[in-house]
Amino acid sequence: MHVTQENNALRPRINLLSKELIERIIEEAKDVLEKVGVWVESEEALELLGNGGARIDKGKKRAFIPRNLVEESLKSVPSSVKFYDRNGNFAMDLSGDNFYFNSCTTNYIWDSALNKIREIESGDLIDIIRLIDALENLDGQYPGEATDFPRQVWDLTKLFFSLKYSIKPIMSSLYSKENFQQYKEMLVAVRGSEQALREKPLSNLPICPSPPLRWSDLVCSCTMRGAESGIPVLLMAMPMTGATAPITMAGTIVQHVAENLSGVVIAQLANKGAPIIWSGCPAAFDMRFGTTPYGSIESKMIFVGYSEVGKYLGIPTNGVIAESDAKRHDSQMGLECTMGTTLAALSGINLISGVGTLNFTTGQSLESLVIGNEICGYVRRLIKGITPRGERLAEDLFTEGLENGKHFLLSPNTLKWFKEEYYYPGPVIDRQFEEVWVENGSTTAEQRAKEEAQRILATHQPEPLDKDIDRELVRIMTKEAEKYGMSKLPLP
Amino acid sequence: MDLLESIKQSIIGMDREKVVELTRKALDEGINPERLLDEALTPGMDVVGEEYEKGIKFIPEMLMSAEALRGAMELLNPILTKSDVSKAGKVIMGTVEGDIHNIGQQIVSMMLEGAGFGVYNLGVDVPAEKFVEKVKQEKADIVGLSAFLTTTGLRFPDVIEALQEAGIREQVKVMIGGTAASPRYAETIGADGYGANASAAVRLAKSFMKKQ
Repeated sequence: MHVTQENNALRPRINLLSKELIERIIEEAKDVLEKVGVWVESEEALELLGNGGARIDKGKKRAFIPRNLVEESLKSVPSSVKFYDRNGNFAMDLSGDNFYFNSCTTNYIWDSALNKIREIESGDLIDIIRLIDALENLDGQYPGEATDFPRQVWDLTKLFFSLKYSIKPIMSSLYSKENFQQYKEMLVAVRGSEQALREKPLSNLPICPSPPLRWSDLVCSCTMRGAESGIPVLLMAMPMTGATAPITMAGTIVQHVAENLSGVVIAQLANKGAPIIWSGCPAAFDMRFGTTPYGSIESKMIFVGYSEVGKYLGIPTNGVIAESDAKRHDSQMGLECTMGTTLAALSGINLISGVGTLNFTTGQSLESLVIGNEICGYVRRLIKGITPRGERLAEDLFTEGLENGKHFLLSPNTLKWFKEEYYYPGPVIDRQFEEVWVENGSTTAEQRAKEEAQRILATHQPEPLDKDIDRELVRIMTKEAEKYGMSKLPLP
Repeated sequence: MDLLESIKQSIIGMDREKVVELTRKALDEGINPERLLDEALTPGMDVVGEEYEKGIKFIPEMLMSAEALRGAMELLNPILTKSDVSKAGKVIMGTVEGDIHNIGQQIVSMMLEGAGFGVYNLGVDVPAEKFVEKVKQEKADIVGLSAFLTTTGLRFPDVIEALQEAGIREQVKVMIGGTAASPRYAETIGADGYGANASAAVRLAKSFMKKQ
């Protein structure tokens, strides 16, 4: 669902950075790239940057990127990236202030039957995907990895299962550059050709430089190969304040912007016009425990901060801002996910990730996805805004009531607008009278989320994949898994 | 204030310069390294560690104290006897081959030093052979391996295998950490333990030394 403002409703907004501060941050980030430079592990990327005009110190693997190269690269970045579902139908337009939601991959799940955290296996992943497929407010999927497969192909399982079990567009990263070939092969198998994939992106490819300012071989390779193939590359800097980045939020945003800008340069040099998504997963490092709490208010502010810079530059934005550091789907999850989704949507982040994600992005639960879905419902309604309806907003509606003794419940105007104007959530959000709530078992939101998850899993069947494509995907996945000792895929 | 007490307070006060100055003075006055460790440096870090656990001190403060300790250790290491050092325990730390994440293992290293261990940090992207070499060279008690990527987590068993091939697997305890590690994985690959965070790693290392 993409949101368009209708009937003159103001699109609600917040800003954390003034225009002056955004410009100052960008200029300082360019200074960092010129004078401090980035460390680039990949010889191929170093050469690419060198040929593009960067000053290279081959021995120290450093690239000093001049600001004119940055500015030139920014000119060719598309300001809109569209995604299409598995059937090729339009699904998302990441541009302007449009916004969409998805979760975030994890390899652990909170199992509420066993009351503990455990690793996700194929069966879990299929359930998670079926659930995401059904949840109306999750526009895309980034469900998780199947740890019962050999470790060397965990990244491919993310894409494989997503393609098989839901039509929703995908976010999926790689853990080794060798696997890019099979990643692309699977996407091409669904689309029919490389050109068709280029025209209708189905998955984006997140990459994370290593803060501060370091590009590993893997990440360079994914950026270049992704850019060449027209697969939208998601530049996801992950600074940790006071640990792998400056302690101040503004200082961290400078580093974040510098890292993302160097990614823009590498991608545009690899393929001018390559689609890019300006992303991140920054953390306000907790100095008490040494943890990376993406759920903290400051982390969320940094998400908004770097995104405001991306929007200023006219690039589609993303962030795992909806994440909560709660270990399970409790009140902390509710409040942190709400904070994140609300701030994100208000600031116009195009793709809002981490809905239902827990525990420093290592966990999730079926219930947290269900709860997250309703949080997103509230946020969608918020952004729809307040629409002035009718010639007169209210004056012509009083006569019936005041003179004829009828109340607004019987007004035709009420009948006309009550569904459009209001969001009726449930079952997680409970608005029953107390007596009814007691009759129904005095349930908590968590219990209702669990019931709803089970209800959906018992009834929802995602659209099945075309048999020939399915066969081809299984062939590709089996071939890779076999290399590492798995002769038969653990599929139902 | 007694000299040893001043050194202890300077450790707690995160004052590296002062610690170095006073340690030098103590050595000049003939105070032996063992006394310096037992009556000033270790008690100082113990207080820091306790205050950190209680939430009074934070990570940057703890690391500053560890830096101050390091200043003293640079003066003491050349003259510490074999028995002084082996009492504490020797740990080889490093991030495995192919992985450049190092903050977590640096914090662990500093906390281990603070707890009195002799720590040799090999840095990042360390091949298995280098770990083996260093274990042999220092006759280390413990090897701490760190990895943050799913694929570099595959290097943990490489190090264990290399230790086996060198015939020294039994002489050393292997602990793994980082986001690529887990208790289950530690068990699968035959590591001796898993440290979920820096404090846990220190406790694990101490438990390894107790059993010896």
